[in-house]
Amino acid sequence: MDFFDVLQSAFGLFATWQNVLVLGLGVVIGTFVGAIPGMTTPMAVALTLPFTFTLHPVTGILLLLGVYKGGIYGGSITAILINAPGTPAASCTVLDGYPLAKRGEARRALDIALYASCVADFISNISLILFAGVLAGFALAFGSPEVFTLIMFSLTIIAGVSGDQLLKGLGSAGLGLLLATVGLDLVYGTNRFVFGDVNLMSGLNFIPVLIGLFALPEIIAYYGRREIAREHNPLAGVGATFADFRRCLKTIIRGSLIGVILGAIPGIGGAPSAFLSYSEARRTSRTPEKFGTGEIEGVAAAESGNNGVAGATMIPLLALGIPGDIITAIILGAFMIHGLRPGPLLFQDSLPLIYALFLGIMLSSMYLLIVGKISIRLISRVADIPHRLLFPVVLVLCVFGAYAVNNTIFDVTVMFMMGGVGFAMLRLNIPAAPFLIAFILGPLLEDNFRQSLLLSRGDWLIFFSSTICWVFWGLTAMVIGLTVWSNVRRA
Amino acid sequence: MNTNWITRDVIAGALIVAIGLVFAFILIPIGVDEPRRVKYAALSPAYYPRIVAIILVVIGAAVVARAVLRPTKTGTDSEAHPAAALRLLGISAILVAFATLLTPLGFIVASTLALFAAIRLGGEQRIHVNAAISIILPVLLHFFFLKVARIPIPLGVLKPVLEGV
Repeated sequence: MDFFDVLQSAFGLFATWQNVLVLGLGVVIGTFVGAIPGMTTPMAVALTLPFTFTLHPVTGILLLLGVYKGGIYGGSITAILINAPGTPAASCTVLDGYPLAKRGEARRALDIALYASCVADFISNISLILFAGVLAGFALAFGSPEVFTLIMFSLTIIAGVSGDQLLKGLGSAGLGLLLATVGLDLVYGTNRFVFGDVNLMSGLNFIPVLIGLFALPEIIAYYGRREIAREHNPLAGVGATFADFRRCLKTIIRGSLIGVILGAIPGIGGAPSAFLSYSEARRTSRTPEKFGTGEIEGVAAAESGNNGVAGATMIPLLALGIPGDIITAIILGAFMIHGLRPGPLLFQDSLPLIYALFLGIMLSSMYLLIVGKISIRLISRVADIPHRLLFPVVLVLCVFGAYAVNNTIFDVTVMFMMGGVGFAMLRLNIPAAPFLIAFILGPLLEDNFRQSLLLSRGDWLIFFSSTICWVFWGLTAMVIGLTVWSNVRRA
Repeated sequence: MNTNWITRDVIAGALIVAIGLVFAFILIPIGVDEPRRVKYAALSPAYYPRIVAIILVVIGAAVVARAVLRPTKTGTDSEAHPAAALRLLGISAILVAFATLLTPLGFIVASTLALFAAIRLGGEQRIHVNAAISIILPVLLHFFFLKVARIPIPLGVLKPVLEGV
């Protein structure tokens, strides 16, 4: 199959009204959810996942990607209007967005946030298309020891998603790895932690675990908090002009590139990228003193850094099968549910499907612009939905969603139990993201660990037998070293 | 007895240690069926979970040690609801009842009851708004999953009424 045949097949896969509609719907859902303080993008992707089961894999994954991209942008709306970032990555947008809104220039700030988001998303998508295939081609040479060391390296993203709770993050990941061992043993087919329950023989499904860990604890925690009324700035003022956009363009492109580079490294995520882009914009600005007081370039820098990661986090996911952040970990699970395994073999066996996803991803940037332009007034009111109505509704969505996985009450029970576990983790400041990442990567880690030892007849030196293994051990050691160093420095 | 050193971090670390120990010494011996003959120790189904359990004990101990040696200040939660404990107890009861009633009552009725109770507990005073959301949402979700996603949702007590609709 030459390039044009692949492209033709991909276009055939992509060009259906369902895909075009669903992608737009995903962006709308993501933008709305992202705009609600207290609701997170992983929560939105988790709750959308059960609705993709009966869809074609391309359609289902595009829906999730739409939610992902919309969610990242949506976080900026409440950051600008009510000083409450909808997503952690939008916390940098607050610095200049909110002062602009207070000055009566909310519309201008929101416009620049939208343009910066769209340009950054587009650049990030192009980088995904350019680099994912190259990386996947390189990964074709991997055997099980190399895959094992690759997953060990990818587990270092735990450091990135643990925040300042690194040790607890590692503990959380250990719990996720243990939970992933429930079910039939991969080599001998014997029972592990099944205790006579047939439901446990195939292991725990990741969706009830995901919903339980990410949605239920937030719902429970809401009942322990007061509902705080925030000052809402109206959508006042005129929109951004072309001169504004031109002034910010250099900052936007620089922020996008920072986002691409940081996004492609597993575990970094949108927030550090936004802050790095912001500090670079401030450092190179002729008027750095204006940053933090309502400088439009500050909004552009934060939003471009933040959105620049969206396509780039898909590079390690599609090329190597390892997630770049928590949302791509959820999308990895979605691929598996649809019978697909991201990684080099997917590029070899299902190239039209990958290209169809690329086409959809490119379209998502345009959707972001359209949704942002048309529905900004409506979306800006979303933050006003009272949490006393919102969270109970989410609870019922969780129950229906968990049931829809396998049509069993068992999954709903698992979700409730994981909700309890997740709430306990929340109260004890144990981050939940490492748990989920380890739970998803656990079976792959163990499978390649044991396959390697089977090949080497129990000799552990197989994990140091090739240059690729050494490269991944080196990278793992480097990330661990840097993390420990930064923790020591902070303390 | 001075209990100031028992912080959330200490409890978290102790819990991680306890889970690791329970897995290593109780759950793995009784919950993992090992074949009679295993070629290499590393291939045993218990080998990998045992390594993880031991690592967990070490990490938990490190969390406790760090928390005791370098305690972090825990501030008061300014966003806490005045009746937080009661409300948390309430939502826990609703969740337990919801999970228990799903099978006998079916998803629509159980969801309606849970939704109504959860919205009321959240502080919504308008009964008509609460009732409307509580009835419409579960019915809509039921028909979405049944007609669009083709996933039948258990009807429970509504089976005689809604079966075939």
